[in-house]
Amino acid sequence: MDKKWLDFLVLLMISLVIVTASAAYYNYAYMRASPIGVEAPYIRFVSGNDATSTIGQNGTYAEISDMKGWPNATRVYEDALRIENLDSNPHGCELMFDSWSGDTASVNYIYVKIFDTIGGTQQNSTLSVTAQNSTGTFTIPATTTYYVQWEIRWDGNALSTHTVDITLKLKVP
Amino acid sequence: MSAEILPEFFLFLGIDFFVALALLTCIMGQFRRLVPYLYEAAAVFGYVNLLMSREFLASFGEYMRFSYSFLYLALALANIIGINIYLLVSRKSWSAAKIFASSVSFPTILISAFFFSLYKGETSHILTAALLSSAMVLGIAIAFLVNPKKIGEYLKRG
Repeated sequence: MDKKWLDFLVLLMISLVIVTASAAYYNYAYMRASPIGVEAPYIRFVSGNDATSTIGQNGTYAEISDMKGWPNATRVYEDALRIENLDSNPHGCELMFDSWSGDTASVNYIYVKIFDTIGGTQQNSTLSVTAQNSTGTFTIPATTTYYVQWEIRWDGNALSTHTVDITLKLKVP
Repeated sequence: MSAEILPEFFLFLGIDFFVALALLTCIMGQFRRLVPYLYEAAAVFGYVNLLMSREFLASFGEYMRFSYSFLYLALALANIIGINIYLLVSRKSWSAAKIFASSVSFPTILISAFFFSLYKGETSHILTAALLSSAMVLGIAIAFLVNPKKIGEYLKRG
């Protein structure tokens, strides 16, 4: 093979390595270059009047601890928890099923609904814990509080020792 | 939302230009055997620059990152223009110089100008780019205008 073409082949190989490596590093740098800051959350949980809840730091976590359902009948907690938009702009949110455990087989249904006022208009659709779906996106207007309603119905054979633990997550874009 | 161009993109562009120069000077056969390897080494140097830029991302400000990245790109462009002038003046190959200008020099300058226009440059960045480009043009001009024979005569007289 001609010496010139041998040189070309060597240079081509080195070039491919350099260009590929530099492109990969540029991509890496691009990902690192975006600083991730901290801001005060504009959506927060607030305790409702119908259930006892523990609100975590900054209102970004809430644990409802004393809700009970009845066998063969629906028990409704209209004001179990509230979701407040502190911002001066409206924000779309979505309440989604995350996980549940315990005596899940004895549950007929547990529905979670969002209302603009207690007994008011329901926002988007119903979250069914048994179906493991979500409420869909609902928009909370600026500086407005929405109400989270829980509807619980146990199976007719459920015992007073039966419990379930449910975790939901609130998506805030 | 359009993607934001980082200062290191100019480094990346410069590496590509040096790599292309290495391959072109190898194929053209009008240069010494060492020249393509020198351009390849320049591309490796750019890659090392890119690595350093990543390592010192937190401590280097954006202006500094832009300055050395653009300087590297300006070096690559200066070499492209330099080769064009070399073909025209030293090799007296008018047709090769014309082909090189239309297929390499002009497109690379146009590509660089396009990406520079996309860069969210502040006034200080534009001024730095203008200064570096002027320095490169001056450097090329000095390299081609200085006549070693005349320098020798001047030194003998002194």
